[in-house]
Amino acid sequence: MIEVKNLVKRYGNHLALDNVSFTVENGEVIGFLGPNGAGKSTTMNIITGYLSSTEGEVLVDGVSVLDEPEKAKKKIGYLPEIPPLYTEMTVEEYLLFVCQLKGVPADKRVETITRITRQTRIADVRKRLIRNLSKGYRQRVGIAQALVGDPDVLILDEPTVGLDPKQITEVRSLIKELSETHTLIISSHILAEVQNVCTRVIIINKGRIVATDTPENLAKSSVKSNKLEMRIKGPKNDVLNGITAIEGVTSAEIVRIREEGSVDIDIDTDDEHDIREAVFEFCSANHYPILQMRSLEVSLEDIFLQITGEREARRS
Amino acid sequence: MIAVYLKELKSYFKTPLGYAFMAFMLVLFGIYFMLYGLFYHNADYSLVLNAVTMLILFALPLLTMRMFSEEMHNKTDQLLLTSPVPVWKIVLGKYLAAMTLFAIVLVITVLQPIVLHALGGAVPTEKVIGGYIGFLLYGFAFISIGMLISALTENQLVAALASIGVFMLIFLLDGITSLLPTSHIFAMSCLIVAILLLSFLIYRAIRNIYVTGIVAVVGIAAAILLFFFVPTFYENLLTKVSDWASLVIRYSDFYTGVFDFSNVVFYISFSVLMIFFTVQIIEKRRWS
Repeated sequence: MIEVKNLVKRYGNHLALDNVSFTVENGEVIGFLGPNGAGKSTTMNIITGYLSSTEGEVLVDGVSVLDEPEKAKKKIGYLPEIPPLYTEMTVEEYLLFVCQLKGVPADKRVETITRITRQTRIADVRKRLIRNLSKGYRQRVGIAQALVGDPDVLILDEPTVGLDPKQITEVRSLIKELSETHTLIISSHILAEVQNVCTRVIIINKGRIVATDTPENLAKSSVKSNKLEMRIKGPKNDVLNGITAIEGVTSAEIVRIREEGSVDIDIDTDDEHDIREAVFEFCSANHYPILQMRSLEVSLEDIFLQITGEREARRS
Repeated sequence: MIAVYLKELKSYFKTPLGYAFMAFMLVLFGIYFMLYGLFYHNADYSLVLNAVTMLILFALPLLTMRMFSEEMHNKTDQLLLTSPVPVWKIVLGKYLAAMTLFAIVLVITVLQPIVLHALGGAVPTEKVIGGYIGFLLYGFAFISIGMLISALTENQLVAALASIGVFMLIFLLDGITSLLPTSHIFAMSCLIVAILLLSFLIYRAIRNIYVTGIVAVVGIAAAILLFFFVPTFYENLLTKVSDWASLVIRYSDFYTGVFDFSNVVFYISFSVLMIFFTVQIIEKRRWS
């Protein structure tokens, strides 16, 4: 269990963290979200003891990171934003060094390395120099490093940033696996990343926590507007006018024309009305074939933008 | 600590730096060995040790420039500092690794006096052994300064150049102090400047203007009182201080055959102090 209490971090006059508090229970998977520069890495660096906070404290299983750093650090595995790799070493040498550093007993080191390389699927590159590895592999070596010493808590700072789509899928499935056996904190500025694995999302902006909830609840509570995305065959103005006239439509606009003779329309509706049937009735009555109809789900992206935007609006 | 030590030692041999350092050192020793031992038929090997003292100051930054700069630049310090190892052990591990490489080079050069002896030269054994001990301590002290400088910047080149600059300054300091005016007024002004500097450092450390003010006022008052009541205090004060604090003059004791234990204590304390400062610098960075 991690308790973060009233963290404040000042860099000179710049306030990087402003009274950040949250608790992570054992087994939870926390998504730590925020735009770049919001204070995600700073928070993680303070939890892991790399930086010290100006005020406030962090307790890992009741152990203060500041007062008993060795004891607290043993409980945490950390993958910083840039994996801390010694590129002139081979993967095996590197992991052996990390084992020594984290005090894994000498007789367990070989076994540990074998297990971890298998788990992170880097067993095939064990003998290669880290310098020659692709970014995806490096990231996984970074995760392997965090796993050394069997920490209960894993903290991963933007684990998929800068990877190609295939590597992202690989790292994500690895994270999913790890989430079953560890307490996890994952930071990201991409919301899809945490949506699938996380049990709870903490949104941080400009050094303050602006929202914390499950991904589902956030979706329910924050955004009420409903959206339809349609492609209808028919004369542009007639279609638009007809749809705007349907009860419940708050706005409709033509976004583009993709197919000859048809229009793509985005429709916003209020909460009470489900207009899909009405739209169908209107189109069939006028013989405007519906080529496509999709209701847009609210993504965390929208919530995120809304929450961080609202705060800014309120301040200014 | 052992983990960091072994990693550092290995990395010296994985990069060309370790080899470059050893080659540089051995070439220096080789040249002077040729000159004194083989051309001039002088079996006093301590002359060689004395001759290279300044030149090795150009080699030592090769050893120290990457110690912390590289870790900071590559962000690998995040691994070290978030691992359950206290900072002083990390610093000590690195320092010991650099010491080891320096010692390895010296052990190799021991072949040279042995060759001199085998060729029938009358090598003054005690003097040479004393010279070697002094040389080791001298090297260790400069390595500790280089390490400190490396902890200040994440640019290796800056670390190297700054180290050479500081080393040169320390080496030339004795010559510079002998050129300065010897008047009491000048000595007192220097003392006052030193007190102000110290006060500034105290202020930076504790951020308490009252304590700093008291230290500064009391210090300066004492300096002025001494000037009027105990003027002998300022007699050759600068030379006395610089001789006492000089890493170079103390070394000359060793190679001239004087084995003064206080010199050993001085060098070791100096290195310990530098290690302490290095730890403080690294700790402080976390707070700023």
